[in-house]
Amino acid sequence: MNYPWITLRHAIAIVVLAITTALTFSGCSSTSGPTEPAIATRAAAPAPCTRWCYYTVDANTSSSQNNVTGINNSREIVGDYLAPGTGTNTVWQPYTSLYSGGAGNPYMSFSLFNWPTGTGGTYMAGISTATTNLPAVEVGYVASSPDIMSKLGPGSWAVVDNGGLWSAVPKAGDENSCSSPFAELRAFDGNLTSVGYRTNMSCVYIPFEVKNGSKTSGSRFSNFTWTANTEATGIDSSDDIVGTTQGNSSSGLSAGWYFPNTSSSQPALLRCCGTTSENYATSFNGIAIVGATHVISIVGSYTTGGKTHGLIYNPAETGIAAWTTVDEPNAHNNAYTIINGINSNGDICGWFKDSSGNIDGFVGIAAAAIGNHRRRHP
Amino acid sequence: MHRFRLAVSRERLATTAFVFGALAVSQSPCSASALSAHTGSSSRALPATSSGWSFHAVCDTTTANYCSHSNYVTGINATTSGPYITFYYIDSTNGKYYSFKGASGTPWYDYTFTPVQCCGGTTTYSTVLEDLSDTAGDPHIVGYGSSPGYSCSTCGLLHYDGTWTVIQDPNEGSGPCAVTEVEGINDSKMGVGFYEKNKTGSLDGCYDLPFEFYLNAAGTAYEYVDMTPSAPPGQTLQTSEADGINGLGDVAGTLTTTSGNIYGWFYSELEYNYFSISSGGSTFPTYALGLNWDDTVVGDYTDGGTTYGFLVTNPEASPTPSATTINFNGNSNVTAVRSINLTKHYTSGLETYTIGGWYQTTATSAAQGFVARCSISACSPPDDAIRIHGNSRPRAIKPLRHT
Repeated sequence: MNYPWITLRHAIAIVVLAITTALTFSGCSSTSGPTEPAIATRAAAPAPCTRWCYYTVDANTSSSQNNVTGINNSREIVGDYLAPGTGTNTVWQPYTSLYSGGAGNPYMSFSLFNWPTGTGGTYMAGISTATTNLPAVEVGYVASSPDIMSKLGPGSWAVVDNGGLWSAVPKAGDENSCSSPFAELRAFDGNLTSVGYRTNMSCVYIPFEVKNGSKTSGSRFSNFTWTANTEATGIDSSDDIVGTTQGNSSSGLSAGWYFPNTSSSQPALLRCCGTTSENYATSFNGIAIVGATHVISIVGSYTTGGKTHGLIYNPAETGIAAWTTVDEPNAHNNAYTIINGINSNGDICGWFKDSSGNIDGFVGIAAAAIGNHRRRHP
Repeated sequence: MHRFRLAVSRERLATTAFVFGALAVSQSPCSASALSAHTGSSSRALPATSSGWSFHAVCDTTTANYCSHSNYVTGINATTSGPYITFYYIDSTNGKYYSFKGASGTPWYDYTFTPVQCCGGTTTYSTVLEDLSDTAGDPHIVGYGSSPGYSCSTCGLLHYDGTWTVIQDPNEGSGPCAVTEVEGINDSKMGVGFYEKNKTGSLDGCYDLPFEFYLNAAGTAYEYVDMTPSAPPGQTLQTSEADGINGLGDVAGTLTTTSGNIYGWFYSELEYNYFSISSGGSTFPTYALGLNWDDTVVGDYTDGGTTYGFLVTNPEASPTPSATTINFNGNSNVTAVRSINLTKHYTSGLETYTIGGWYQTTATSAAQGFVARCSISACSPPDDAIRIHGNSRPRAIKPLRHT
């Protein structure tokens, strides 16, 4: 369902909702303890635009799972859906879609692409904004491609699509010591740097960085000492990086981490919503510097009480650390929303579970500029 | 007419002559004038010649009739039981091209050839095979061909399992510029080559543009993507080809500038880098023709009247990566290395390069295809461990996905 319209009969409701949102949007502060944050958008369908105008984006309406994984500053999106594969298998089929604007759902036309002969599926997790030197670049991984595996060995391997020119990322060297190796790129900063995660020789996920053109990787995270799975999942235009980790316990609940470009130290564990307990398993999936006031905005999800909610986190350096819960309006019982990407407009994307149990992609187009935060770079 | 292709190699010289009916098979070397903007000179020291290669001319192990004609090894894959090669010769009696797939025997350089001639005929089609994938059993083979029945002056070709597919870039020119040639393919069936466009305001006007192609996501049609290497700073690009692609999707090619300078180029990790073989402050016209999984690039460069093969292990180190010279048996007038693989021995773990190309003992003798093998440790440039990452490389410019 889509909510691009604001009609007269909704006007009063909009005003009421706007006031409600303004009162509750700041969420819980870092000192407020492990209480669930305020809900920024919990409108029952159909609903008018509030902070975001939501659009369901199902590139394949017959698929049980559609993900929107990235959105760039031009509002072009990248995503994946589960498609039939060989035999009873299903494989990921990536797509891109341009923002058409105008009335109605702006994402109705999809361009499928794939690692050539990627019969095991290709999952693309991020998209950059086109620049003078580069088109919109998508990053991700190709799964079980016989052609790639014939050289890199079994596993899934990181790939980049540069305007139709596909490249696979060479191995760092020790992946094959793991019985189920893989490397996955999650985000690209639009210039030279991609981040993601891969297995090390002990099959533990470790973050890695690819400096395109220089064939270097990993050095940015050399001071990370976490021993459990750690992923780098997002990078912004200033090369601030976010990710998710289990810290030092492979059985522990996940926490987000934020790694500013000025830091070389291992960052702190961050769990929604400012709690230090492990009751809130938190994942950070993306980061952008948003709006004219350059608000650092991190998106992801957290799980508590059996429900998974989307979240937005603004680090303390933007003012007061703020956590905001976001449930896609069509998420059945507000039980499952993942925010996977955000752009500099404050537009968000991700996926949710509907009343039929299917996973649907969504894009939330920011209804207004996000402000009221301190400038990061005065 | 086809100035760039005339300069690229003796192989191309003959090809161009045939396509336009001249049927000339003279194998004279590149003219000095075409290379005058470079600083090469036979009096200068060249990159060190690696002595670790074991060279084997294809005709050393056969008495086939093609040995009296110019013949070429143009592609080599990495089949571990013995690399397949692509091979063709030019019949000097009629100017036609005849192509073959070569299967490795015992010893490994004893090749048995099977004709692979588009499109099942031997009378009208002239076929040049350039490269082949590592697909087990029946590799995908690419090249180009011409025939009076073709809609294009020269058409790119893809052969697999007995079926020929014409690869024709939708942006190719018209008339004599209706040309698409496929020069390389990898395991993922991503092919590269070039197409020609008509120059405007010229009677003799074709120039080359590199491209990549592969089946679209639906598997229903080929997608064509322009590649966009840049000329070095201060120079203007005239024409460019993509000649090899490896399994990572990295690409090697050659470009020429309006000044007449000729450079190799290398695409990897979103960036294009140009490079030249150099020694003692001198640079030489450089043709990058092939690369392996490990981004080892091979080709040839010309110094005065002699053409040498080269091997570069850090092609991203623009503008002058470290290189070794490859000279067939140390005394050839021409050594051109067209293709390279990287294999690891089953039991010993020894990693080796195997290359294919052609040589001429004198400037006027017939070209002879060869294969050669060397252990990596013996044939890599001595300063291979020093990977220079220059900051002066031109950034990639936006590639275009054809619509």
